[in-house]
Order: sequence, then C-alpha cells, then structure tokens
Amino acid sequence: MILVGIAIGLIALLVISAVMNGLQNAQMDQLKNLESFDLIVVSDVLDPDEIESVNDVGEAFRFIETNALIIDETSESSQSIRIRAFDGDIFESPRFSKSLTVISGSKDGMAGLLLSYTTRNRLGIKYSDSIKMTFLKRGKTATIVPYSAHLPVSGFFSSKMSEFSSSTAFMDYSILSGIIGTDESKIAVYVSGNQKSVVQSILSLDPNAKVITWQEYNKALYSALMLEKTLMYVFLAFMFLIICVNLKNSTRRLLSNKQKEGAMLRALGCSRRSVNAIFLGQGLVISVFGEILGVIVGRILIANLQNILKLVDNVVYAVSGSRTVLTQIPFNASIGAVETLAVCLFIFLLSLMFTFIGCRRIYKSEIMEVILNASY
Amino acid sequence: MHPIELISITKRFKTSEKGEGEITILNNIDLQVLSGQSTAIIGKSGSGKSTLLHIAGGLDSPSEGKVLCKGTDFSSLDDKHRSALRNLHIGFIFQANLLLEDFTALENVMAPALISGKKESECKDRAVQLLKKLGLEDRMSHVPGKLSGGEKQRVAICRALMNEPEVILADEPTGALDEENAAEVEELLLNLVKEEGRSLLLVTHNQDFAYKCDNVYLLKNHGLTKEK
Repeated sequence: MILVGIAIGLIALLVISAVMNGLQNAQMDQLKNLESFDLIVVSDVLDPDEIESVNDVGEAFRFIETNALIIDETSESSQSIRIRAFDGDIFESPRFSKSLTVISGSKDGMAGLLLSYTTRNRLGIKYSDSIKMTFLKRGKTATIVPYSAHLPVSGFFSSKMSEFSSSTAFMDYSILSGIIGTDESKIAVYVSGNQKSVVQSILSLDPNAKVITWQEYNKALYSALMLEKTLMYVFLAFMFLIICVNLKNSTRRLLSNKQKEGAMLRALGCSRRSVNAIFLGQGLVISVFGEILGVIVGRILIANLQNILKLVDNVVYAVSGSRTVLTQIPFNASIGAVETLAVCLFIFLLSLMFTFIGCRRIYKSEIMEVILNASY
Repeated sequence: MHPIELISITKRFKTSEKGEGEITILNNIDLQVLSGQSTAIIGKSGSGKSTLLHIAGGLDSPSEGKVLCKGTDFSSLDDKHRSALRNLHIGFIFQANLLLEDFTALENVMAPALISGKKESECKDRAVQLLKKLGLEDRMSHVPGKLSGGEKQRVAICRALMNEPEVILADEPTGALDEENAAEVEELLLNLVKEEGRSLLLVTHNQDFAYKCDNVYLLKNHGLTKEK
C-alpha cells in the first residue's frame, strides 16, 4: 500500500507539474508566435535579410503597426483596432501559421483588410464589405492629422489568443506604409536558438538598434506568468505537504505493524541492528519501486493526457450533453528530466526519512512489551 | 551447567514515565531450568509469569540479579552476542504464535536457522522434516493467514525447534487454542522433553498441563514456591 501511495503521490505531482508547464508553455508560444515574436528590432540600418543571416535566427519580417478606427459602411458599426502590416509573407511562416489560421477569404495580395472572426461577429461584417478606416498620421502643419481610407474585407482569420484576435487586423505593407510612412517600421524576429546571443549579434551589427525581447514586450503578462509559476510552486508545496502527512501516517501505521515482526525477529535471535537494517532495506526497496512505478505511470499519463482529456470530455458530453473546456485549451503537458528528478528525489528522501524515524521507534521498542501487547 | 539459571532475580517497573514510583513484580527469585526436564510456572494473571519467562530468555533485563544461559551471564553480553546466544540455545513459543505474516509456514520455520547464518539449502531439509513430523506436510506453502490456530502453534513449535535449542520457553502455548488442539500441543511439547531430552520452561494458567511437567512452581506475592 505504501508503494502504491508513493507512486500515486509522485504521479499527481508529475502530472500537475506537466499540465501547468504545458499551459504556460502554450501561452508563451502563442505570445511569441503572434503578439511579440521572439524579438522586435527597431533599426534604421538593418533589414530582415541581414538579421536572418545571424546565427540562431529563424525568420525575420519587416512590419508596421498602427491603430485605426474601422467603420463597416454596411452595418455602420465601428471599432478601434490595431493594424499590422507585414512586408513579406509571414502567413507562410511555420511559427506564425501554427498560431493563426486564415479560415475564409484570402490573405494574398492583401489588397483588403484581413479581420478576425471575433471582429466579424462583433461588427456584423461580411466578406467584401467596404470598411472605412481612420488613421492618425503625421501632418505637414500639425503633428498628427486624421486620414481616412476605404478598403474591402478580403478575409477572416482565427487565432488561439482571443485578446489578439479581437484587437488585431492585417493589411498590405505597401498600402499602410503609403499612408503613414515607414518611420515606425520594425523587424519581427523568430529565434531558433539562443536568444541572448542573437540579441548580441544584432547589436554588434547595429549598436544603435533597439532590440525588444518578448519578455520585455509582454512585461506585465510575463510578470503575471512568473507569478503564476511561483504560485504553482506554492500549490505544489502544499501538495507535497499533504503527501508528506499521508506518507508519514502510512509509514507510521506500517511500522507499527512491523513492531510485532521486529519483536519476533529479535526473539528468534536477530540483533537490534539487524532488525533495523531489515526494515530500512524494506523501506528503501518500497520507495525505489514506488518511484519507478510513479515515474512510468506518470510519464504514460502525461504522454496520453490529450487522449485522456478527450475521453473525459466525451464521457461528460454523453452524460450532460455539453462539452467541457478540457479539450478547448491547447497545450502539450510536458515535464523536463531535471524537474522529474527533483520531484523523485524529494519524495524518495521524504519516504526514507519517515522510514528511518519509524525504524528508530522499532529500534527503541522493548521486545517484551510488544510481545505482550500482541498476546492480549 | 544448567541450560538456564536465574539467580536472585528482581524486576521492578516504573509506575510513570517520569519514574516517580516503582512497583516490584518479581522479588529475589532463584530458578534452575534442569536439563531434560519440564518446568511449569503457574500463577494468577498479572503475577509476573510472562515477565519471568522473558527475563529467562534474555528478552528483558532484570532490575537485579543475573540470568545464566549455558553458564554465560546475559547481562555481560552486548545485544549482538545476546541475540546470537538466544538464537542458538533458546526456542520461544508464544501464546500469540507470532509468525511472520508474509512468509509461508516453511519460511517461518527456517527463519531462526537463516538468522544464525545457515544456508537456505542446509536448513530447508530440517524445516521440512520438522513440519512433516508435526503433521504439517501439506501446509508448508501456506501463509499464517491460511492456517488454523492449532496449525499456527505447531508451526511455532517447529520454528522453536529449528536450531535444536537445548531449552524451549513457552508462554501460554495453549492459551488461544480449543481443547482438542491444546491437548495436541501439550503432548507435542512434553514429548520433546521425553524423547529429545530438551528442557522446557512453561508458563501457563492450565493447571492440568502444568502438573504433567516434572517441576511446578507457583508465582505468588512476587516470589516463587515449588509446588511439585
């Protein structure tokens, strides 16, 4: 039973850690693929091709970002939106297209405006509707002046980040740069290796370049994620605590039963030390096998978590007729070797400590008392 | 040299954890367990019979006096050597047969020999022989949970005999058995003395059983009186 208890405790810790990691990684991936990229470079001298030639850089795209008020001339509904215009086909990028899908219409040519499904539903926009867009651009006599343009809706996209979807639209780089100029242009960079070394390489190419990492760009969200991670560890610490108490109680119960066995072995001629060694050895074997079982089952569960969640979702659907959120949150549960090893080591040391404490009690117990208690 | 000799044994217990008071259970007791004879100790519950037996077997230490096992004073030995002496020269039988629950009858019987360092192959034959002798040949592979009370006690007797000890210490060996099984165990133990020349020190409530022994002592008022 103790062996199973250790295994279950370990499985719980591994699976929860993996799920939390998966959720956080999924969120960070979405952020890096769509919102902030790995790096955003602001440079007057560098172009995407130069940056792509840097080691560990996957892809680089020039883009302009501005805010606009969009008004659907058919439904007359309006919304403030962030416009992003890319020079180059970022929609072909594996990382970008992993997180964003064009589900109707076309992004080709970008002669029109590519809006999200969320925006379409909110404003009641239809494909090829004419959209009036009002930008603020630099004026000749005033600092900024409003400028209006009309564009048709060329398609709709969806992404796994609802915030991003509801606030972002895409359009052609040449059209937008023709309206607001290229002063605000930046370069989006996907890093395939070491981010730090890429930043250093870019700065060595242009010391005046401004390089914004995804952590800096999403400072508030990144801090929230780090806080979440800290809270996750606090939560896990409480789980550890619960497991500790259970482990202590189970070990105590087991070793209380073992007291009779210990007394009997001593009556048969085993020395105190031998009895102690036998029970410590048993505790060690139980811990090791419990951990092996826990790691194997835990890893199997983690590898098949999506299937298990689908199964649960199907069962819930069959019973209640409604779907759960379990399969709607995209994430891949994962746990690294170091984290697994740390959890295993912690549980192992705990179980060994409680076995040792229990064995001390057996070591100190009087044979006669135990035998008499067993007799009556 | 007697297999076991108790000299001026006094045993006191503390009445509280803090050790504020003490009660005397055994007072200045002398007893010799004679070779090839059976000795019974009778007395009321709580008179200290089991305590005396445990002291005789080196499972407990007297407050005063000494216990000699084959002439060696238990108190002069450290735990390791005391345990070894117990293993080789004394066989225990308890009321609650105290078998190892996870082991088979055969493995339980083999335990004392394995503890003494004998090889498994060496002790298996003797264990099988003992179990057969006591009619347990078809129970060898059974764990204690699958044995009846009488069978468990017979396994305990086999275990006590495994290392061919000179003396058997039995604490209420028939206390938990029905009449039929109790009679069987009584006969087995007394035969051990007669046929194999071992010594038996028995603690029992059962007067009939006690008076079948060669010597009978009554433990009363902390002292021992010879009754037979």
